[in-house]
Amino acid sequence: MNDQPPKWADWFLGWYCNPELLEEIQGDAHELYAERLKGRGKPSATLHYVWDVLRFCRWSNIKRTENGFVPGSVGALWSMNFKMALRNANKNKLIFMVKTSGLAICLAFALLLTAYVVNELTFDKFNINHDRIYRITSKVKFQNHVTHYAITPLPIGQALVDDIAEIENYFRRSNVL
Amino acid sequence: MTIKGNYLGEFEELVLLSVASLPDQAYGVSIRQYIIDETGRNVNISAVHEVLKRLERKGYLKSKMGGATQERGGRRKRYFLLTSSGRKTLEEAMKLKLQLYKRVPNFSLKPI
Repeated sequence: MNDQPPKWADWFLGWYCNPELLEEIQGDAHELYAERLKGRGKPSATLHYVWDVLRFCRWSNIKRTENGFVPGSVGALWSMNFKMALRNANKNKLIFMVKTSGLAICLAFALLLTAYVVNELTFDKFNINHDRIYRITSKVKFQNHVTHYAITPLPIGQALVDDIAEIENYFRRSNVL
Repeated sequence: MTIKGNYLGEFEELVLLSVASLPDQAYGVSIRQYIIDETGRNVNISAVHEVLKRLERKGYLKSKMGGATQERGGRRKRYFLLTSSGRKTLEEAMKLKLQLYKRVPNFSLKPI
């Protein structure tokens, strides 16, 4: 009778486990398996072995370095950069303040500009006939002084539809409901 | 690795005591069996390994690999030994607890 634990579970253990820890972990797991095989039979032993392998699957057994170099955002180099930045900021408070506020203003301006441009470029785009929609404004000349208004008198809509063949229809748009 | 103080957790103390009372025989499976026999708890082997690693990092245990044997497929065992710092920590933990237990009124410290 085969008295070895399931191959796939063993493979999984060897796959995730830190090679430095594998020998003792696998040894202990195999010893427990052999013990259970004698005491409770194969199905129970297999089940417990798989459970043990799953329970061993934790970060401290997976990670490959112990007190070694850790790359990336949790590593020593990265945290040193942050520390240096903080110390420099503490040392040159005024310069740091000017630079930070400058960056903040720039970013805020860029975002506002983006919002404006996106609004302009997508205006009325929800309508399939958006390239045939126009807005009528007024240009009022009064005592040699020209003023532009974004509003028009109400009857002009019907008058335009009646008089100009190219205008199909009109609607009233108001910010005040 | 940062160490959160030198305090002993309850299970850490249990494992440390087991290692101390299993001279030259303390490795994962035997420690687990000892704890199960003595406390009647169901302990998983991975929990024991985790605590052993932590205690070694704190300097209360030291370990060495045993020789290869025929059992467990020729895989070696990692044997754990109590260090003097571990012994001191155990003694201090017991002293502190006794000191506190003694202040509880009508509390029997006699063995059952």
